[in-house]
Amino acid sequence: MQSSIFGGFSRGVRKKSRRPPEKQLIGSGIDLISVYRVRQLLARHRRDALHRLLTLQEKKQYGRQILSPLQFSKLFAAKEAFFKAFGKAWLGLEGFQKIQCTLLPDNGFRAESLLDDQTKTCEGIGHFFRRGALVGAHVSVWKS
Amino acid sequence: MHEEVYEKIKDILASALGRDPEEICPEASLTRDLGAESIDFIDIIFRLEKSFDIKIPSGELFPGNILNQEAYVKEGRVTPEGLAMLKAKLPYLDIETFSSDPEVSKLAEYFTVQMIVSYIQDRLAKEVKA
Repeated sequence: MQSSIFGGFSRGVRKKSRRPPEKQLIGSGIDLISVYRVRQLLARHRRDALHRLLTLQEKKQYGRQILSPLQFSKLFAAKEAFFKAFGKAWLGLEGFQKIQCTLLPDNGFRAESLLDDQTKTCEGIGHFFRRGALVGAHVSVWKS
Repeated sequence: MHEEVYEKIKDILASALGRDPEEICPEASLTRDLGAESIDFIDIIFRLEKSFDIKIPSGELFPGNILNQEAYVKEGRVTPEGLAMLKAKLPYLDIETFSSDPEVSKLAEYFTVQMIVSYIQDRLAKEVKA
């Protein structure tokens, strides 16, 4: 046994405790959207909107259901909020299709980027809020 | 033909943004003057495509994810490399004025009616040549 300068005794080599690496907060984003406006968009361009704004996995997940304007509004707001967290300009159609969003049962969501840039290794955890016809999404983005 | 294209675009924008066609002028900014939001950009792109029977690739009319490299945006401002990229990819955007205060958050203010008109006119001219 050896004495330690911190007092007490140690038995041989002390193993360093392994803490999981701290996640780095990249930023947070908020977006608001009008469900009414989304309803208008879907009435006019439903096929295009679903085809070009959803990822492959989202299409598989929601493909067989009729995606309601409220659900679509949530996906839209979540993706916009996620992108805003990086302080970037508008993400465009390609950006929407490359952000994977999963709606969670507790009015929350998870978002991850499929883009091949610095957003790739980041994960967003967020929640939705509503006021009348407005749906909002707030997300915190972490480096995975 | 140019006047015809302009009038058609005016009608599209007025309908998409819930505005009177008289409010649509070439210098009008879609966001600052006409109140467009991101959902409106999507609507506008889809309407233009259907109306003119073209496909608008991502990043050709609006920047989209062009500024995707870290070198293009620093602390919320577009870098000289980013400005060069915007100028190359979006010749219809008023880069000169934007570069005097290149805040990423203000980029959308430079999306004007004229920008859309110039893009569509050039696209249609290319389709005719092809």
